[in-house]
Amino acid sequence: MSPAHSAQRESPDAVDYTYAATKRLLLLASACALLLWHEKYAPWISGTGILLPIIPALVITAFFPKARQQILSGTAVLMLVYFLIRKEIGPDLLHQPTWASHAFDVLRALTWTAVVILGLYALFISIRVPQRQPSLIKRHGVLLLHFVICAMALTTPFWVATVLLPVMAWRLSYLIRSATLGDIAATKFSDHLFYLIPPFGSAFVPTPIGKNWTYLSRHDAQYHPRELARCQLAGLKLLALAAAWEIAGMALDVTFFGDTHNLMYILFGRSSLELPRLSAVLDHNITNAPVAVLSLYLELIYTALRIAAFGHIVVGSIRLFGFHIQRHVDKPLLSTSIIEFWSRWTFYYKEIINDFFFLPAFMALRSVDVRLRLFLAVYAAAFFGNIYFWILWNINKLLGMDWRAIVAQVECVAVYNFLLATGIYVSMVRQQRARKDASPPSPWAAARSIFGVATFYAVIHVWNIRDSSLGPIERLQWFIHLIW
Amino acid sequence: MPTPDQDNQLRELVAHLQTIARPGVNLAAIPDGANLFEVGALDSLALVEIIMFLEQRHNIDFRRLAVDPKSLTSVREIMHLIARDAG
Repeated sequence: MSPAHSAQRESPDAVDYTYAATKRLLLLASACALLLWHEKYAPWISGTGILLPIIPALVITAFFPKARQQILSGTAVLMLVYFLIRKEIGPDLLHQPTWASHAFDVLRALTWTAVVILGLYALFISIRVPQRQPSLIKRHGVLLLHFVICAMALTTPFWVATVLLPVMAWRLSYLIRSATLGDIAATKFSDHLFYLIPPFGSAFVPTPIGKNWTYLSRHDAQYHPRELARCQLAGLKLLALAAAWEIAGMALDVTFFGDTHNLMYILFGRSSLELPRLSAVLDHNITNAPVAVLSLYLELIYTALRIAAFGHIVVGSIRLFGFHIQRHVDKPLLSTSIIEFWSRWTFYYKEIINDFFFLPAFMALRSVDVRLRLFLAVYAAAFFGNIYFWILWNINKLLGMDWRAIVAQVECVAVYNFLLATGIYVSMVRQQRARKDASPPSPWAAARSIFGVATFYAVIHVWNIRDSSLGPIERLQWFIHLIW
Repeated sequence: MPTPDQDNQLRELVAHLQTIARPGVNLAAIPDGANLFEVGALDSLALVEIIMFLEQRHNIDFRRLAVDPKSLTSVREIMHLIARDAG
């Protein structure tokens, strides 16, 4: 967890203000207004409708705080139904000419909802008490879960197995991990339902933001009124910050990339630098140094703004419900080391890789030489772990391709993650050495480090661009041509 | 009441954590129960060093234990693990 998180960014005066009951209504109204804004403008969320059910859940929770778990569980089930119906009928759910003609689709979606919830219940009951867990689950529960999910995705024609389960894989992994540590023995099934709410990182994005009930309950501020006020204020600030990043992203889009569909295009007097996006720079083999270099850095900044806005909306919403959890994205562009950037870029994603790949590999390699042990664990996590995560997330798309297309897709992902793993390993070793130097770096040295880290990520991002048709070798050739 | 052995273990642990703490952090000034990662005294890499310290100095084998190494966030938690599982 970053020091900034623990520093309690909210001023005591603001907390006192929020603590007053009448002001909390103001906070609630502001939060609802911001959620409506995000529903319209947030990256990846815009137009999906997934933030709307959070609004009534927030309002009801404000009046019946003791029923928070039940409200969240009910919202999760309703959203799962909505998500499944939307998947069966299509995104334009509210404008169907004849609902009657979709009766079968709705019935099928309801059946799937029941199957998913019953499946989760069966899993929960079978693992809840450590003493009653089957020994295979106790020893290799997470591995077994992923084997089952992959087997189902590869052999079952149902999209629930190829889309929903792979996305839920990491939530379920955390559930099993908590169960084997005995952390869920005293919990109810409904405690684990609410993180199925799609924007919280299930059925929509595979990263389980807020991890699981064990993690959330450790950060639960509901039973301490001042802490709750602080937590909700922090949530509101994140929603506002997300709106600021969305506006900054739109401005960047218009100023540099000339997005004519953007509202700001008119505000900016229809003028733009009309720079190409990095995918176009690659595809058209543009090696004009100023344009290409500017595109490299702008792509990183643009991606950071979008990811930060998305992460802040999700964490902000969770905080409004009283869980004071760590930010998902925390000023990554100010990182002074590669490993710090990785942790600040998408915290809960880094946690998956850390919890399910790095630490198990590191502990399993106890008898190996220390330096080699660290090297193997880093590559198991940042290389193999990242590739596996990506394949599982995209398994539905990959299943529809022939093997050549699959290899072409995986090649770039592999190169990107190889470079990332190498950078992280080097950064770890450098950090270990730097500890011997007790003095903090000078501002100039810190600025150089920030620039160096941003450059590293901007460059390796060349192999992370999905829209380009170039393979990894062509991208390398482009890069060599650029710096030569 | 801690035994002399436990006192020594505690001193040794704090001395080790001090070598891996962020520059400028004085661990003696932080309460035993405080989460060292949350207060910014340690970075994520420090966990690896804590695991290696416990394995080498106290012969703790995490492969055998049902322990989440990430629960080792405070001096008190680490001391509790040493008292319970040191070989």
